Amino acid sequence: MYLYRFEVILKSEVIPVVIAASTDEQAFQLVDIELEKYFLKQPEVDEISLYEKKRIRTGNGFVLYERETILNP
Amino acid sequence: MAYEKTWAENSKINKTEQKKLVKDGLKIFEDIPHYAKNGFSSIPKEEWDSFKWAGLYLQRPKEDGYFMMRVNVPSGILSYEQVKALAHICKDYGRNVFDITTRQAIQFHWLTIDQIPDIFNRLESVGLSSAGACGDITRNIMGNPIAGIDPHELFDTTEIVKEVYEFFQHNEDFSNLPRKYKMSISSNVNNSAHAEINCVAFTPAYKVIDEKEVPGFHIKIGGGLSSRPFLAQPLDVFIEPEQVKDVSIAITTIFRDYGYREKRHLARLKFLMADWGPDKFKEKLLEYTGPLHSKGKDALKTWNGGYFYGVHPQKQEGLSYIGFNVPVGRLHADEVLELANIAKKYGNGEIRTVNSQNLIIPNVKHENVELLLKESIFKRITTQPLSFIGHSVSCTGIEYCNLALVETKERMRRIAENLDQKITLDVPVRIHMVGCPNSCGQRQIADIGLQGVLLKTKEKKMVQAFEIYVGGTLDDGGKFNEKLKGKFHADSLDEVLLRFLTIFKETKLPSESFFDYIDRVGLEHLQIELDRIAEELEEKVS
Repeated sequence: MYLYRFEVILKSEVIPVVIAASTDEQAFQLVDIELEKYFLKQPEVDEISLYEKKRIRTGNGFVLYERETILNP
Repeated sequence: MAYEKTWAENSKINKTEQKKLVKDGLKIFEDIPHYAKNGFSSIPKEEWDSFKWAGLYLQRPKEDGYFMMRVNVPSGILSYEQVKALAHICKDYGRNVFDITTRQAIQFHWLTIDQIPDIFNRLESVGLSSAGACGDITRNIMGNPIAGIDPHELFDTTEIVKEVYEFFQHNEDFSNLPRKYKMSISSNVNNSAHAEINCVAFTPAYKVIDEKEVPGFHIKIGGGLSSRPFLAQPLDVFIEPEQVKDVSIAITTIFRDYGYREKRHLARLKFLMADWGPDKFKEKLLEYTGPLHSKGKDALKTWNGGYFYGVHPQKQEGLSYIGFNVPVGRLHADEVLELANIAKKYGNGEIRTVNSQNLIIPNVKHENVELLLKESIFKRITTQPLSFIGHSVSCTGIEYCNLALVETKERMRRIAENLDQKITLDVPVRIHMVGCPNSCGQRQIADIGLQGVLLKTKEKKMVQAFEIYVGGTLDDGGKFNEKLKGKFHADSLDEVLLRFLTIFKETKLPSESFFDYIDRVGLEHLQIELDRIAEELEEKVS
């Protein structure tokens, strides 16, 4: 199992999403599901980027502070 | 010498630390014969990580049981016997894949546990080791790859590196550090050991002591890349060559006893240094070493990026060293054997590895150089590589690495070759490609850094893509490169780079470096050009 760090571009906004999954493909699918759960309906996503994955174990995590994706001002 | 683990009573230390308290990483060497006899399935999953202390990582997918092995090459110096032994290990067990790393080490792939004891024996028989090549321990010590033959070095650092390396090898007083620990010791005036990105770097310096100018070292502490990069900062001390071992031990002891062990992602020496700053670190160092001289005169002149291509006179009269390009650091076992034989035939058998993933054949008589260069292997492993393939670095990528998101090594080679066919510049442009934010390919110090991401667009396709960073250097204390906006399909990356570099070619001043060019035109201008390229190609992902 891995912990995946994504950025989703949605209506000109960058949203960080963290997913636990076994494969990259599964992680992408789970991003859609988590977004739907959060927004209560499937939002219109422009792009989902996977930036990093780490093995799941105690002590592993991500700090979600700065955004990776640079959008137009 | 036993020591007190001052962190043992801290209930907040992370799980890896708790595990290391129960069993030291180096103890894995005692278990490997049993596992080798009983097969991969006999290794408990919770022991997999301990193999790092033996220089072994499981390749992806881990469950398949294939190991990557990293072998230390202190200062990059290999004897004929060592090169032969490495080549035969590679041929017999490693599916002929021989990689030179960005810290002068050698990496094999596809090893199985039953083969490891024989590999250890073969390494030991020629004085090599993989101990501590990975794990929370002193790693391979980088040095001047032309130590002892460098006409401009302050003095020969070969024995100093050897002494420090051997002190830390299999040393259980220092095998439980908070995190990986990278040292460099070099008196090369062109910063060939990349001082600023090591945890601890000894760099060449002079100091007037008792009215006599003495050559020695300055120290930089707390550098490192990965996802939170830091440049090492200088301490106000001057170290005489005979003090290097004691000072190394003192700094390593400080890291061991004061380094952070609660949060693993904050455990490297760079975080301690960032908190303490140079003054506090110096104060603590002096508690261990006693008085040290204050800083003298820095002898670093410039940064050569770790490149030594071509034929150069050694400090020894009548002898040359010859720097060769190894495309993205990968050789075939038969090539390594051939190189060993050539090094023996024309030189003294030595081969030196360089952190630019290249190699050097030293000690060739001037009159034999021309003959050596006629050997057929040097059509591929060349002294005058085309500019882009000659200045490309890549991490291992998705082929073997569990954390990589995209393919890198072969892609970097193809892109560099494509650029070389289509564009010629009057200065080299160093391109580094990495498959994740962990920076094994040292993306941050490249002129152009390419970092892989996986992404899914509106069309619902999952594609490999890259972000582009520009303007890294280790000159003048160093500067990390900065990201430009946009993500580019991996398939269109070569065209994007071609157009980007064509603009550089057409608008640069004669002999202007890529770094100076960015300084002159500004990042904003480059962003406008990149956006325009993306529009023209309609290939940009975002």
